[in-house]
Amino acid sequence: MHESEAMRPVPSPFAILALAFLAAFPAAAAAQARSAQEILAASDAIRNPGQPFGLTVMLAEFRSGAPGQTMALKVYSKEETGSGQYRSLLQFVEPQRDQGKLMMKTGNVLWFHDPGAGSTIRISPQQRLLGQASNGDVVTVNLAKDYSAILAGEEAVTDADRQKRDCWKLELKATSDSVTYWRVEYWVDKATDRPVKGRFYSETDRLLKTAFYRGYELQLGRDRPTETIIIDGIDTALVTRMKFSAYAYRDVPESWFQKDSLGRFRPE
Amino acid sequence: MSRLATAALVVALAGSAAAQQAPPPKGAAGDADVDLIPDAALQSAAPGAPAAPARTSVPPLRGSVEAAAQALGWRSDPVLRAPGQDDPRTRLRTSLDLRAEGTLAPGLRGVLAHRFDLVLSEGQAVDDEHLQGSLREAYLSYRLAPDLHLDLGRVNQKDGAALGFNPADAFKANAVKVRVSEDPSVLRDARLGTVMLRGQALWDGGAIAALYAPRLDDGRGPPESLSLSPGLDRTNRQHRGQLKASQRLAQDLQPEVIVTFAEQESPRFGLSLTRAFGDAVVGYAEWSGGRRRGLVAQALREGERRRDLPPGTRPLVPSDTGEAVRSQAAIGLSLTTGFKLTMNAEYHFNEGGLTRSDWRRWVEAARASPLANGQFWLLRRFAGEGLEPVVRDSLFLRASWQEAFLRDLDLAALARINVYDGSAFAQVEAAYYLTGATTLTLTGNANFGHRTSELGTLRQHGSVQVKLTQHF
Repeated sequence: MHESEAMRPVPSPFAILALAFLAAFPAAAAAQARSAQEILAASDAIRNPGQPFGLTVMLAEFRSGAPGQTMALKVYSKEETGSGQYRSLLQFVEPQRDQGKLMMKTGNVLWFHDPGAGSTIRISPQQRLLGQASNGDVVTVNLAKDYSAILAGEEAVTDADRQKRDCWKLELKATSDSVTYWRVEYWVDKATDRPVKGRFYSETDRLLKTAFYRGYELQLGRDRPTETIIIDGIDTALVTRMKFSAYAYRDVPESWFQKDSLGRFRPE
Repeated sequence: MSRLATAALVVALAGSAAAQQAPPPKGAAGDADVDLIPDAALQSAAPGAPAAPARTSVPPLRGSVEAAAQALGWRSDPVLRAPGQDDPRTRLRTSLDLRAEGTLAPGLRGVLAHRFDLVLSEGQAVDDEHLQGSLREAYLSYRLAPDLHLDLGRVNQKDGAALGFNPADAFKANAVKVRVSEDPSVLRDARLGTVMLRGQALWDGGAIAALYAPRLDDGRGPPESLSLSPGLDRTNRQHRGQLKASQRLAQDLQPEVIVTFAEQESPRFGLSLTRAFGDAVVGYAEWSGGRRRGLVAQALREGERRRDLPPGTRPLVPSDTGEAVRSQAAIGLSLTTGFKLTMNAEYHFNEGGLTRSDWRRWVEAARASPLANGQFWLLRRFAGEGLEPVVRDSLFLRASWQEAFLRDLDLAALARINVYDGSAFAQVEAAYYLTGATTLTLTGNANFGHRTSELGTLRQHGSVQVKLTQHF
């Protein structure tokens, strides 16, 4: 193993993956935002398989339009009983220098495992191993716990395919100090409840990332977005495309989500 | 080609893209966010779009090949000199690292990890003597039940949470056969496993394991360091047993407790825990303790075992050679900034190590007497091979900065500091990722300190290494 690789931060794919799920779960809306809660819940149902699942994520980066790095990950995820937090295991398939490495996340507890070295390292939510860009964003995906939503209005927004969509615009505000995105603007198609776009802001109200959801296909029983396009809010020349495939409901044992199980991880 | 034409070409080639409508040209959308999306990102079949990753699963056989060239600098007038030490100005190394794992039968998996290093110092010719094999892992794992496992073979079990020193890790001593780096975290990763029979049960939020590691080679005589031998004299020189358990007590509190038994030694207890503080900070601590001799007594005993010293050798500097409850500990914090810089700071405590006054007396004795000099370097070697500090109190700092200045460039630096004399080992490293499989690394390190200090007494002043790694 390369000396420095073990301490490389998780790639933007993780960040982006978080974004891909970020708006996918019901917000713990304030009482006055009941309609926003319902809209968001309907949108969540499109994004969220609702049962333990696995999928493959292919990532491609573009810098100033030119293709850059690619990456492949396998993701296994399930909702934690009680807390409603999502627990996830990510296995790196590509690039070759990282293949087989694992990252496990449950709540704010993250571990990184390198099977080649046999080492397992605790990392902070801000820290990411192995990778490319990250704004140190959360892997926390359960907005219901961390955000409250209000209906900010109705807008005709342009989707990634440059089509106008009549959308509900939702404003999500963090209710927990542990999240990286303190505010989210989120657009949901009025006709279909599909998520169209999200803009994610820092504590200082700086735009960190913009996400577009597209490529709706029948997956696990209903139409779900199979692509997310992420534009870096700070370096807007950096764009990452995530393609989701091989969706499958699968058994994801609770015992996977601890340090001691990572060395035994056998997904098949 | 204009963006407009490119977009048109994308659309033409994309043609039948399922469920996606042809996007209007850029600028027509009237949305600044959408205009930031390059056309290639909207269609994977577009010219210039990156190829899809070749794999969708992790292959059963993987590894890397390394080629490294190192230039070394040596002090010309050292106060002390280790017996038998060479001082080559250059060193070449090539390494092959292989790992294979797969299912052999339902519920039965096999794991094999082996590394070969060919290390040639200045003036040396290629010779079998310089080819070193490290069988890091070779074991079978049988799943008795979904969360109940049995392992048999050489297993690399690493415990503890710190980077620079792991008191809770009972299987680290003597397990590094080839020191390809002086970075403690790299040495930890590069070591040999221990032959053992291990059972482990897992449940939601907890685990328990029991193992037995037999004595397979009593280790009497010099270690088989320059050979392709499996090095059982390094890893299995005692009968040992261990019980390890962890249980989640709160969302972010899952301590690990370890008890290790070894023949002719008192049980040793270990504890390891980690905890996040906010989004960017992780704190970690590990401790081990039990009745044992101090570093000097242990080192002399090891010297007698290897027949470097006659039986009954007494330390030439008055030292506490009796057994007592002695602790080792490592406490650290990591902090990650928003610009991908992660910093670790650790304090290391080795109660059996040399105190400030011990160190001074040993240096004075070693300068005055060749016999004391021999003991002095023997105890330093013992601590080094045991992956533990030679002195009681020390600091370890590490910083790694991803995508530093360039997208494919990582920078890292570390320092191990003797708090008594201020001497330090420092290393800086730049890794450039030429491709997803190829990495070019430049490493420089140096020992700083007064000529009588811990790091200042080392003959090697520093080194620079360039290394090319190809993963497959």
